[in-house]
Amino acid sequence: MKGTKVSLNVKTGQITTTEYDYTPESPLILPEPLITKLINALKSKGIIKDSDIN
Amino acid sequence: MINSPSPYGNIIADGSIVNAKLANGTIETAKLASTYGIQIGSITLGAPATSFDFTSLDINTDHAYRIVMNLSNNAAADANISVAINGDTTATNYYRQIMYADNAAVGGSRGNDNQIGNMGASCAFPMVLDILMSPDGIVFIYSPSSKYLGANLKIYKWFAHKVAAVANVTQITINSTQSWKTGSTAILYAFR
Repeated sequence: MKGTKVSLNVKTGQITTTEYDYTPESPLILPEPLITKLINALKSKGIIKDSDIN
Repeated sequence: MINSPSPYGNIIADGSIVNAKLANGTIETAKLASTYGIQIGSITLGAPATSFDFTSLDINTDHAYRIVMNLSNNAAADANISVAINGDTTATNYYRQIMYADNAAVGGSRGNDNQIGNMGASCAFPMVLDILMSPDGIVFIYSPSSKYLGANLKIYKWFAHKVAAVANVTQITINSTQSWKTGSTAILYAFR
């Protein structure tokens, strides 16, 4: 993905903008509605029960 | 900078430096022993961007930093916010623990990464980062933030630290997996 970095050198006050390529390294936290959908899908197929969800 | 005229002369305060120009024309300069949060940098986005970066820092002098960010997610998708100390963006060089709560549940998770926030899709996103370094060089990052709005409002507390000790913090970078809107700001304070 392309990103834009805005840098401030606090000593000089100079602001520079640079483009960079990046790959998100952190694991994504799934949005709650998606988690709920996944849980419901697993329950409906009998893969997990309510008691499995902590 | 604050200028305050007085019968005894002019008081000029610039950060922790206070100059008093006395009635006889002499100037007395004093450095305050302690001040709470001197602003040393501010970035306001003139166009959408994914990264705020503060360089030429010196935590050995400044003791601690606070970055107050008023952000707005430019994308209709959630985004991860991560922090990099001294340009180290390798996620596994950090650990983080979070706690979150909404009206129904309290939860948490831990990761071997440098994530320090999770921004809701198309949402305003206020965030405060405190960055400290222990005497043995471990850098800690604390962040309260919220996610979503209205009936979906959720609060978060993030805590992260860099695994390897460092001698100083000279650069702090905050990265997002989605861009922030024009007008988003990051204001850096030092606790000298």
